[in-house]
Amino acid sequence: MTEAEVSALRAALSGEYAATYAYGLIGAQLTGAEQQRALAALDSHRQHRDTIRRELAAASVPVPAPAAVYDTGVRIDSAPTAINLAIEVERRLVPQWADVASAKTGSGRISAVKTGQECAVRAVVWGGQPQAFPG
Amino acid sequence: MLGVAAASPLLLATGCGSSESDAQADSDEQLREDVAAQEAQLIAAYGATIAKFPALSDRLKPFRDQHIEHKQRMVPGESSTPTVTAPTIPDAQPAALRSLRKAERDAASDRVTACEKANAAQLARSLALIAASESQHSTSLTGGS
Repeated sequence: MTEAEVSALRAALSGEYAATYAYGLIGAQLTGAEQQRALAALDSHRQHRDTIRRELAAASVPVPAPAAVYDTGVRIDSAPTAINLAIEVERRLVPQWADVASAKTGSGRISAVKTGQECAVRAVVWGGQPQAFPG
Repeated sequence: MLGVAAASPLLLATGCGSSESDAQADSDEQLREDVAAQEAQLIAAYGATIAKFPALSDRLKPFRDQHIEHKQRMVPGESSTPTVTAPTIPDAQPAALRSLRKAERDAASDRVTACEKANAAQLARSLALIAASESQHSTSLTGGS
């Protein structure tokens, strides 16, 4: 595994840790279909987190641990603040996955680009505006 | 004698590496031009749709502008007056929006393929971001047509 790949994967892992933490807070403020959407997103981010952890471990690269707590900037105490956090978390992951894509080749790159697309789409589904270069 | 023997494989290797990297740069240049041409098509499609349905202007202009940014990123500095023929726009507004949505979905998928072909990491990164942007467009056009 190249140095660029290790560094991109570590950055994406920290983003996925932050996303799984954030969706715990987000889900708690939502109900019904929005809560279901948050839970589905949480599940997807957990899977990506685990995939990166396995990938780093398989290459005998130390796997960073998640932080105990992440700074969300504002208090997440309502549905609107929760949804804004979801948009923010998803958007931030797009350039991190683009970095993973650029560090990889072949099928690994395709899979990273598609993961970035998933995050970008979720930002829009949560109500974020499309961006020319999401992030 | 020893010097010559040691030097020749090195020269060969350098020559080989250089032509390979030239080929990679040429291939990246072609990729940039191809994607820029596809972005020009999208810009023209948005332009023609906005001309036909002025009421959609506020909604569609941000998308068109983002494609202009994509094109600029691929071929910096080139003027945004491409010689492309706009596609025929359907007569009914919902059909026109569906047609843009399909164009965006195809573009998002084509950018994934383009990204895979890119040699330079910076180009791959840009294409990954454009792929993400265009999947946002396609999703965003799905609502409220």
